[in-house]
Amino acid sequence: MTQTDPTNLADHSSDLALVQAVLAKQETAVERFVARMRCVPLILESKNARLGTPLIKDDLIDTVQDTLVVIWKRLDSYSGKSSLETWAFGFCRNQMLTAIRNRARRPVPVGIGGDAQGSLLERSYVTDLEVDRFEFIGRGLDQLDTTHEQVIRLKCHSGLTFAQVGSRMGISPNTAKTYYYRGLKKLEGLLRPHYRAEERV
Amino acid sequence: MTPNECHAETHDHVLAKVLVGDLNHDAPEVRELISSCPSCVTRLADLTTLADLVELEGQDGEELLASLDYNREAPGSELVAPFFEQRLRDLSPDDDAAAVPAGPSALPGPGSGRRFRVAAAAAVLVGALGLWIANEDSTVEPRPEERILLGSSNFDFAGAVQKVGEYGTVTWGAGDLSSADRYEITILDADSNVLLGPFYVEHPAWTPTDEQLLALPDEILGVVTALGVSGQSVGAPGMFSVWR
Repeated sequence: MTQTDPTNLADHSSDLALVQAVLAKQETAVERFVARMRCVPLILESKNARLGTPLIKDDLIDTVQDTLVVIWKRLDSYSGKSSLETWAFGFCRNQMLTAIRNRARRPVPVGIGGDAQGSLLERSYVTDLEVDRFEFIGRGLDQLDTTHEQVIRLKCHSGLTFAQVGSRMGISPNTAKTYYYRGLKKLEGLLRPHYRAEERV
Repeated sequence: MTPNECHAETHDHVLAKVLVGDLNHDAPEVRELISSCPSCVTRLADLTTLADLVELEGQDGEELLASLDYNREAPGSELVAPFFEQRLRDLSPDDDAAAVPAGPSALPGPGSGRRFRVAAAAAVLVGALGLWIANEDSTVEPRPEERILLGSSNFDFAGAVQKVGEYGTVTWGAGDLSSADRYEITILDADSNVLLGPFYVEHPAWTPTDEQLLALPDEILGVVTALGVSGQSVGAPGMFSVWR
């Protein structure tokens, strides 16, 4: 199966065209889109494994469904500035965090047959997740407004020059630099407690 | 040098040039700044570290995506095709014209009564606050209800109308919010009674405190308005409706 290279520096206008075709209910486009969205359960399974499997299979399936719902609701906002898989990755990350937190908030079973140890373990995963090296960065980027986020992602994730970033976004290189610096400052304000901690690790 | 001078605009300008690569640390103005302004040294280190972490975060995601094996099944893989096929079947001709995806049918979704209350609360609030309608272009065609609930132009909540396990952090973004200086938030119950606020946050996120989690009813509406430096509203307010 063909897989999009997420490191591809070319723009993702073909992905945008695919999404537009899906919303226009073009049958072949739907097939291709569904094939691409098979990344969602794979991403969630992989992240779950990396985090020490805090979610059991049934929870993971629920999270897949929740993530698909969010992706569907936000599909018309896809702008083609990242690959479909990279775009979906952000939703997977957020839904995974939500699922683990919800699981940890369930009432702790007590008494005969209670699984206090399991519940404690689940709670510890939340802590593990919160100090997951990059979770907070991704969530912080999500909190920036779109322009700042896109400039930072194109510069830091895609490795584009400011001239390339500007060209991609229809702004001058100097404007791209301004957005980059202001975006970093905003992100720093959002994440200061986290990355200072990260620095100490 | 006084503390105020440490935060002079020229210092920020030098920091910006270093961060974007227009100046390196050996440049005279950078050396002068480093030797004379401890707070800028810290700030430069923080921002440089952050930029490095963002880059590493991107690499981490890319590595995960590159490692996916599309030839195997993961839990939930069997849901993907039926889910999207069903959603597309659910799109009515009217929806096609608007190209707006339908909400989830397999999960508990907002009922018509809930939607009505949310829309009514939005109308009441918008009218009462006198925020933005006067500046709206009257030639713009009405949008589908769900779009209006999200705020007509500026706000983009993740899951603006949905059931949640527990109230958590609400974040928003997208649109033209770059000129927002702070955000005004009001929390209401399902009958549009104000429960909290208005209160203000600097960043586009709000997290209920533990006390609020206990006190809030099982269905809340939130209205968020972006405010500029002088306190004027920046575009239309956004709304979210969640229930637990």
